[in-house]
Order: sequence, then C-alpha cells, then structure tokens
Amino acid sequence: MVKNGLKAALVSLSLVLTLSCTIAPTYSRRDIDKSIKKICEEEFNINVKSWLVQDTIWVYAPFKKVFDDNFSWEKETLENVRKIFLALSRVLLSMDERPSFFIFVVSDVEKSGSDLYYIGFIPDMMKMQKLFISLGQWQEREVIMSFLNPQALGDYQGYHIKKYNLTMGEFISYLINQNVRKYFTAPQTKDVFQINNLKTGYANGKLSILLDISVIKDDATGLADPLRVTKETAGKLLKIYSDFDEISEIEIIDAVNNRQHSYSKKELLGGS
Amino acid sequence: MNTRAKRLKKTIKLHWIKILVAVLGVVFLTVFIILLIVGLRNFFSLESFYKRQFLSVIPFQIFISIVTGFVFVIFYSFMYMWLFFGGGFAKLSQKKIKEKEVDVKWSDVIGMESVKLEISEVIKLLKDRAQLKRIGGKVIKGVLMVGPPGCGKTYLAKAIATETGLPFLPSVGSEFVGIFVGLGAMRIKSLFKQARTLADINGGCIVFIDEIDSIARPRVGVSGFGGGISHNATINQLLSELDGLRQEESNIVIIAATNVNEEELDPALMRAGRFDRKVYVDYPQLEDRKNLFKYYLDKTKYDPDIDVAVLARKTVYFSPADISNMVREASLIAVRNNREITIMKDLSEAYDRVEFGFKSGLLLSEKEKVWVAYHEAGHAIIAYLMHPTTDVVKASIIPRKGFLGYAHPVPREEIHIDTKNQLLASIKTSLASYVAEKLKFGSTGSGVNTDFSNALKTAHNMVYRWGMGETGILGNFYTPGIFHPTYGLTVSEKIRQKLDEDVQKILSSCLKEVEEILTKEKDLLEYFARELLKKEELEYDEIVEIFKKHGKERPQSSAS
Repeated sequence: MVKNGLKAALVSLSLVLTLSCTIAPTYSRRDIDKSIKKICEEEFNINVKSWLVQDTIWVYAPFKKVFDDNFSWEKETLENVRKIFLALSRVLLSMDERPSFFIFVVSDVEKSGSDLYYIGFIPDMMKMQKLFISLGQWQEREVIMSFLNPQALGDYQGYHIKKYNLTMGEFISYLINQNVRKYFTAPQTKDVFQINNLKTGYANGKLSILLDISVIKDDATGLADPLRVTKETAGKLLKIYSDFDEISEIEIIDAVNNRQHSYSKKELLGGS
Repeated sequence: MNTRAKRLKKTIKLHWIKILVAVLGVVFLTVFIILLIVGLRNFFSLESFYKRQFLSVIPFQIFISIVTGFVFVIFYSFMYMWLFFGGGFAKLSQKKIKEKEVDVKWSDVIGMESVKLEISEVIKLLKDRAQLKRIGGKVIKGVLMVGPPGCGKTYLAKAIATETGLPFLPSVGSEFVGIFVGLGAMRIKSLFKQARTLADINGGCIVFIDEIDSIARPRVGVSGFGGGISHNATINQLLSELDGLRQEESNIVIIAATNVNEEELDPALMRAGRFDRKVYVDYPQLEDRKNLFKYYLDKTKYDPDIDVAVLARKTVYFSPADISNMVREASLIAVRNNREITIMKDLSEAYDRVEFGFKSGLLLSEKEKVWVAYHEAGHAIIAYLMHPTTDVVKASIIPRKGFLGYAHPVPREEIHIDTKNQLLASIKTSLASYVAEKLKFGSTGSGVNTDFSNALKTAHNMVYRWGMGETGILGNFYTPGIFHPTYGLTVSEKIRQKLDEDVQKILSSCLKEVEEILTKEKDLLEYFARELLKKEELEYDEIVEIFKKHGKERPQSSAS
C-alpha cells in the first residue's frame, strides 16, 4: 500500500514537473501590442491601439465620452477601462520578458479633448496580481495624470500621443510629483498651503524638483513643511525602488525661500 | 425469441450483481474519462500564468497527500497492532501491581491455617525453582482456589505475591467478557503477554484471575446468533496460554479463584497440567474464627472481657469477610452510643445486623405479635429440647429483612455429616411453629410457609437421597440417568408412591412427637412466649435461664 502510494506520488510529481517545463508563455514580447489589441477587440469589443517602445508598453484607448457633466466617470467608459486593464494584466502575467512600464492613455476624443494617463511599473503590477502587495500599495505606486489636450479631439489612432520609453528616474519623478501634490491638496492641508508651482524632472542621474508651495494661513503648527514632505516622499520612493541606481542626486529648488538643496540618494535613504 | 428473452432474463437474475457492478464500472469510467477530457481541455485553454498557478499547487498537494498517507498508515498500523496484538481495548482496563503495592504479608493471612500450609508449599516451589529443576521436578503453573465468597481467596493470592516478591497482575473473570466476539480471547492474550514481559524483567509474575467461573464454564454449542463463539474462544485462548506456559519456563503462576464447584468449570481447564494445585478455601473453623476475631478486634479498642471463643462459637459458617464486617459494625455501634470501646453488646447487635439485616420498622399489631411470639417460642423450645447439635442463640419478634420474627438456630460446631437424628431434629424444629400455633390458637397461619418448605425438603432428601425412609428403599434418586432436569424422576409410579409415603411418615411422626412435647411443656411455651412479648428479643443467656427455671437442660450432643 505504501509502495503503491509512493509510486503514485512520484508519477504525479513527474507529470507536474514535465507539464510545468513544457508550459510555454501564452504571449510573447514580440506580439504584446497585438495580443492586447486582440483580447480587447475579441473578448471585450473595445478598440485600442498599442505600441511597445523599447521597455514601455503603450495602450491608447479613445472614447467618445470619458466624463459626464459633473466630471464623474461615464459608467460605460469606466467599465471598459477596467476591461482594458484586465486585458493588459492578463497579457503581462502570461508572457515572457515583460516590459518595465506600461502607459495607458484614455482619451476623450469627442467631447472635451483630454488625456488621462495611467503609468505603472509592471513588476509592481505583477506583485499586486500575485497579492505580494496590497491594492492600496499599488495605488500609491501608480501615476495618474490628466491633461486637457485639444489635439486629442478626433484622434482615434493616437497620433497626438508622443510615445517614448519611460525610465525609472522619470517614473520616480512622476510619483514624487503626484504624492507631494496629493499631500498638499488633502483636506487637512489644502487650506493652509497653496501650490504655486511643482515640477519634477529627471535627467542624467539627477532628479530635480521645483518646489513652490507657500503657507497661506498663519496657523500651520503641527503640519509638515513642504521641503520636509518632499524629502520624505522622495526618500520613501527611493527606498521602494532602491534596486535601481539610475538616480544618484536629488536637487530641490525651494522657490518660496529662494534656496536650492542638493542631496545624495544615500542621504535621503538614511531618512534625513 | 421468447426462449432468448427467457434465457436473458434468467442470466440477469443469476448474475445481476455482476451485471450491476459492470454497468456501474462502465458508467464510472465513462464519467471519469469525460471529466478528464473536459478538465484537460480547460487546463490547456488557460493562459500560462494560470496554468502555472494551478500546477504550482499540485506538488504541495502531493506532499500533503504523502504526509497524510504516512500519518494514516502509521496510525492505522499502530491501531491494528494495538488491537490485534497489543491487547487493544483489553489494555485499557488492565493494571499491573508490583509486589510492593500489594502489601499483604503472609502473617496477615489468618483464619485459614490449613490452606496456608498448602499454599506455603507453592510459595516454596516458586522461590526454589532452581532446586526443583535440578531434581527434575515440574514447576507449578496453576493454582485454583475454590471456596465460598468472602473466605479470603484474593487476600491469599496477594499474600503469595508479597511473599514471593513477584509482580501481581490481578484481573476478574468478567473483564474477559466483552461485547465484541474475540475481545475476551484478546484480553487473555494481552494479559499473558504482559505477564511474560513482567516475568522477563522481574524473574517471575503472578497472574490472578478472580471469579474465573465467568469465563471457565464448560464450552457450549454455537447458537444461531453466534452466541458461545466468544465464550469458547476465551476458554480456548486461556487453555492455549496455559499450555504455552507449560512449554516455556517463564516462571508465571496463574492463581484462579472461584466460588462454584470445580465440576461446573470446563473439564479441559481442570485436567492435570493446567491447574496443578486445587486449594479449597472454606469457611474458617472454630480456632480460625477465634484468631480472626482476635485479629480484627486488635485493630480496634475493645472490652478485654469479650470472649472471642463465645463469638467464634456463635459465628459458625461466617466467612472472614463476615467477621471483619461484624467487628466493623460493632465499632460503629459503639461510636453511635458514645462509647470509647467496643463491648460484647455491640458485637451482638452487629451480629444481628450481619446475619439478619437491619430492623425493618414494620409495625405489628398486638395480635400479630402474640402470634409471632408463640410461633418462635415453638421453634426455640423444640430446638433446645430436641436438637442435638444446634443452639438457639437468639429469639426475636422484631421484624427484619422480610421476616416477622426468628428463633435463630446456630450449630454448636461445624457439621460435615448430617445424621438421621439431626435431620429429624431439624424437621421437628421446623414443624414446632405449626404445633405451637395450633395448641395456642386452635388454628395455624401462613407464617409456617418457610418452615414447611424446610421440613418437606429435609424429609424428601432423607428418603429420595439418603435411604432414610421407613420402607427401606435405598438409593439416591437424583443420580443423573435416574433424574432428568426436564423430565424429572424416571422411576416406577409404585416406587415413587412408596417414597412419597415415607416422606409423609417422617413428617407425621415428627409432628406427633412435637405435639406431645409441646402439649407436655405448655407452661414453658406460655412462659417463653410471654417473655418474648415482654422483651421482644431474648439473648442466649436469657433463653438458657428460662429453660433452667423450668428444670430443662439441653440434651448432650450426639451424632447417632
């Protein structure tokens, strides 16, 4: 009985191992754009455009109406956006040599002429799918940007989108911008601070942040000052992506006090 | 076509189980194949991530299955071994007692001197095994102790264990009777296995099976419902274990105790080589009873005037357990009466409690009391004047344990042979109540029921068993072959008639004699009954005093 059991276990294990080795990825990097398009069209009946630019996969989804008159999501559009995300994640999950970033652009091509960018680091997305990180953590690591763009009007092919390969430095700079902005527009801070200007950029290993956030109310006791918040946000993000050494220096230009601060990556990681 | 259909029908009828199994097998296989195909198709239609996700779980599931399988196999094997080879449920109720825990010294065994002598030889043989082997003697393997309950068989077995310094494995016959067939045999096997292990470790072991009659009754035919299988299996296992002991020199001694006759046990168990020694542990004799009273009284504070010889004489056929119980009861009575020491009166009261139970609290009317008093007076007078071997130690009209009064006869000594004279005296004593009632009230009551039963039984046995009838017909008519449990006696009607006539003659002559005596001693009867009514209970001394007052003395003991 024991012998037979062991035999059965060994056979099953061998079968599993063999099957595991023979499972080829369903989607390949070469055809990633076509695969996303195909799933969206065949399974969800949504027309999208997709391009792979070096290590970044771009998805363009034009919709006649993205938001209603109250600037809330159109129900049908929102559902379709979710379906496109599902197609994107399915392809990314079952492929080899995944790209590093995705940029998903939702455009209102009929009514307002606007672009909504979803930018994410694909390994983070995989972690979220495999439940290694929570949805909340994922949302903190996803960049969402929106622009009014008249060029979008009537553009069903995505001509107005300037496709480029996103780097980690640029991605982190977007994230810093988004998270600092989110902090100072939160209900408890929005009446105390005013964002006059906030720009982030990356070039040649240097992350530059132009910080122009002024205090508009005398009583700001207990609330962090913009420079500290920016430093902490940058430090936190650099820590999350510490495996990437593209960024070596961080420069913060404090336009309110007219001062310029320069930090090394190490300094920010140390929590200073 | 019709023939074919019939053949098909018959074939189906003949092989319907096989056909059913085959159909079920085909259905199962088809369903399995369909499910497999569907499952595989679904699996291969999955995207690679989900395929891997699915497969990644399988090795863990296999691992869990293997672990579960191993745990199950180990548990199953353990349970199997435990149930069938290790004693199983039997072990749950089995306990080993080391010789230190038994703690019954040889000197504590009292009141059975002759038995002790016999057993001491067994102990000696157990201790001197080597010497016995040298001279080629066979070691004793089994000792069967037969005797009435409460005579100290278990106590003796414990003392043997202490004396030999061997571990003691006690068990009771009823432990080997279980609801499962074979459980008894399994328990026997387990008991002996444990005994062998203990013997290996300690150089010997004593297995004590109390009430062995529970399992050692003769084997029976197996009834329709399997009754008897378990019982037979248990005895067979016991026999085989005893034989095993004979073959192996493991120094295990089986001591069994029973209170039934050895004839009632399975003959195979009784044959030579199994229970080599049979020790009869009977009721203690006069001297033994004296020792027992002394032993138990010494454990309490008691009046030094208490004469243990008187107590011993009074307690014929008392077991050591009864004596112990009597002394304990006496101590309790003393405590209840705020006395520091036990006195003779306490012991007398305790005797009544042991012998007759507690006073019942039943209230008799005055008329009934008078009736009972004359009834008991009749018994007492005839027993005193006519019985050669029995004393009336007490008379009472206080109801106890289901009877309204008593005149308690106690043999002056242990009687092993009943002579005709004694038997007739017993009949007369029994009939005396009837005569007394008749003389006093001119009528008789239902109270003579038991007395008549006793008288008739004795007379019947005298004639049918012991050739004491007037016609001189000899023979024990209850010998198997002549007497059948279902059909009764297989003698001619003529013989039977004569025998019955003899029985009635005995009863009539006894009745006549009793009538004569009680008529003659009417004053004594009146006086005795009145005294009894006055005092409700008369002790031995008071009884003797009444007779002395009337110039009467007991006849001398005579076995003729």
